[in-house]
Amino acid sequence: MITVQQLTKRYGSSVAVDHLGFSLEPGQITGFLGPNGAGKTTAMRLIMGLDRPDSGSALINGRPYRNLVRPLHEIGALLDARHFHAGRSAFNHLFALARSHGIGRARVDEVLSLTGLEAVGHKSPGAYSLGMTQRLGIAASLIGDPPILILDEPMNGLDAQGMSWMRSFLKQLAAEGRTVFISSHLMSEVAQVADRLIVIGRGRLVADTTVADFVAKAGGITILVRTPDPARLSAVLNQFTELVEFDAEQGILRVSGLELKEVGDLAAANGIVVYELSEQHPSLESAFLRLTHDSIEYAGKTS
Amino acid sequence: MTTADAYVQRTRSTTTNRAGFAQVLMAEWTKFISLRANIWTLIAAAFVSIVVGAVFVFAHLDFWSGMTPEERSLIDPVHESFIGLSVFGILGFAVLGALAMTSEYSSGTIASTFAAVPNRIRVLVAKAIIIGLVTIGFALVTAFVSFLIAQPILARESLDVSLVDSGVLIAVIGGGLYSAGAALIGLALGAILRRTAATIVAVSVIFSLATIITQAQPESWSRVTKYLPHSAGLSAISSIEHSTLLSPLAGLVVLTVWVILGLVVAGVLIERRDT
Repeated sequence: MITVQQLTKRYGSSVAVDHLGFSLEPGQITGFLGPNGAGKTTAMRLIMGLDRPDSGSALINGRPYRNLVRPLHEIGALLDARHFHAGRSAFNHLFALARSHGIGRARVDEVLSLTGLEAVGHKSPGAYSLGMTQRLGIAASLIGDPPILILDEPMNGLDAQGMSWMRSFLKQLAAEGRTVFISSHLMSEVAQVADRLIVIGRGRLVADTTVADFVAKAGGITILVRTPDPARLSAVLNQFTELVEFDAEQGILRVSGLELKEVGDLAAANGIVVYELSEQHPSLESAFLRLTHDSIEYAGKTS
Repeated sequence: MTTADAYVQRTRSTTTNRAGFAQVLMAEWTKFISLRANIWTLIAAAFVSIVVGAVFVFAHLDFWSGMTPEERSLIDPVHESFIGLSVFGILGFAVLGALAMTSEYSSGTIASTFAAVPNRIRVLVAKAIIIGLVTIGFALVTAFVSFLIAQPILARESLDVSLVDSGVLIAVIGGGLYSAGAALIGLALGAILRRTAATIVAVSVIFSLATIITQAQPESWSRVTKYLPHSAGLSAISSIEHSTLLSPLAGLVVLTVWVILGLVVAGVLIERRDT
């Protein structure tokens, strides 16, 4: 259980994290979204006790990170996949971490095989692909078998195959009852795995919602109609919804507030020819951009 | 009970309630021994100290016949054996100590180190113990071998001394302790400066440049400069009394004060600073 309250961190005159508050529940994957520079990494570093907040708190099972007695058994983190020494094998990198908690070699072999690195464990991670270093980072976070995982951009730079492996791996970790917190600057990376979303912009909380709610609020479904007589169909549809606009460039009408069936029925009842009738689902990415863009403008006005 | 609770229960029941300092030591030892560069640095420091030291003694004695009695009286047969160690070995051990800290910052592993052991003072102390002990071991052997190789060369002018002569054994041990002191000052500076290049420049100034400068300085300055780390260290590996040096024991005490001062400043900074 992670509880973040009024968390604030300044670097000089700029505010990286601004009175941020949220809490994380076990058994769920929570996506931590925001554009680059929104303060996601800073917030995670504050949770991990690596940086000190100027005010507010981040508690792990009720205690600040620095007061944890055996932290790797409570929380595991991947903060930067490139954080390894090129002269040290992956095995020794993990073994040093394990030894700090009296964990044996067997667990090191276990996390290497969990992440599919058993064949390259005795090589230097300097020779790894980006996907492999991400896996090594995940292996390190799992060394103490912690119930909470904090992963900063675990999908960053992965190819389609790596992405799909990461998604199913994260789902499995959550299914085991762990709290999984993953950051990303891309909605598409987390929408498929996350149950919950925490969106920040300029260090402030913009949204704390479920993925389902976010999708619903992203603007709902739009109906696209291609017709030779857009003016007449617009007039008919306008009797039921104001949300009709004609896209002259593509020659289509965009309709909101009515269902696909209703639009089709209305066209037929009025004898209007329809060439195409389809539903367009909201783009999560554009909804996310709109949300964070608004927050940036808002922050800009108040400061 | 949720599955998450079960995790915590399971891990807590299999481990003691305290992260023991011995475990932090083992973690730091694993990190040290798993980097081949550390081993090579130690071997190089020892090898260069011994070889350069022997060559220096050999070359220096070539001038013996042309020296005035006063110049001859300034030659310290004990210190003569340790020229290689004091010029090259010390710098090598100081760099070893520096890298133990700065390589963690440059590679970023410092984040996982402090995540595993949030009590940063423990990390610093564990590193200091390992660097200190490893350096003492290697440097004692280096000093002893240097001494044994130099004596037959010095014997050509009947300058050789034996380990049982007054002040000789303490100087050999002093060579080990000076090296460990230099390594620990390197470690402390590494924690303070965090950057490899800056730290290596700093240890070079403290242990190499300062030696050259203080040899050229007016003698009156030595009242202050003999308390600098390199002078205090040189005092520990000399056997004749010299106005610019402290006694060997006083030298070791002063060096210890520098080490403690450095580690305390390093400890305060890493505890207060963001990683």
